[in-house]
Amino acid sequence: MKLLTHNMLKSHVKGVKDGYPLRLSASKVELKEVTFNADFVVRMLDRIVWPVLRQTAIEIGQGDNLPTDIPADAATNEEFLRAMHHVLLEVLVLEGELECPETGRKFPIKKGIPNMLLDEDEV
Amino acid sequence: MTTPTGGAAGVTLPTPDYGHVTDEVARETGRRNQIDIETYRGDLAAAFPPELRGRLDVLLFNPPYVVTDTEEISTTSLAATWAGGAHGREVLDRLLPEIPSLLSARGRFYLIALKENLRPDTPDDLLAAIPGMRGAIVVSRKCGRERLNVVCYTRTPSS
Repeated sequence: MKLLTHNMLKSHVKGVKDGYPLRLSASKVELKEVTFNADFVVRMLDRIVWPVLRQTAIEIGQGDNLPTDIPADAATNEEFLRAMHHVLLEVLVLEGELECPETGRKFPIKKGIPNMLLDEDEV
Repeated sequence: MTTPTGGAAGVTLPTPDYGHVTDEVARETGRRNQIDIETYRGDLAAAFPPELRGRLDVLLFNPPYVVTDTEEISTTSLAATWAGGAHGREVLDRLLPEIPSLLSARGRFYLIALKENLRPDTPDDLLAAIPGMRGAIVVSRKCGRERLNVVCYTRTPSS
């Protein structure tokens, strides 16, 4: 699971208000190089939730060099775009879990695939 | 359901017991075609946060569209990957109301549908089944015993 995907997932356990962001704990992380595509990263600027991406990256030890806020010149700031590219696409969480911030319900990540499915009594 | 975003995508698969297998096949297909595919297991759009809504440019859905008994949908057998219930529409119709809020202003929704799913000239006309959007059949092809249609939905000008 890439942190891009983490940024797009929420808990939907019955009764949960936001269910976002999911707390990530990673027991196995792999770094895999992905060709840098500045246009793609720029398009993601208003599609991701930056504080969540940054905080999650820091929590799994991949958040060095990430500014608190998206810089005003982000679209032309290659150093920033490369740092964002790295945390969005190159950090792969292979094993771990996502925890619902409200209920504590844990969603396992196995072989890099998060399982967001709920049991029948949870929906 | 796949949500390609350029260099990455999310795929949801609604089949608990077979999810991992289909997930892994999807990833392998991507790998062999040099496409970076992300997958997760979830129920339709339920795991998308409000922050993502209105930000998807392209949404693809290959639903379980085969006309079956309703009971087949909820099983954990392999049938759950194709069973669509009455008119093959029961799973699909759960997602349709969510489409307008998921897509960006110019976003498109592509869907695979059988003739039996389309139901033209009825109140359940599939091409008119999403509020504020209109569907058009952009490809129609016979595949074995099925005739598969690709439906593309765009927002109607007034919405």
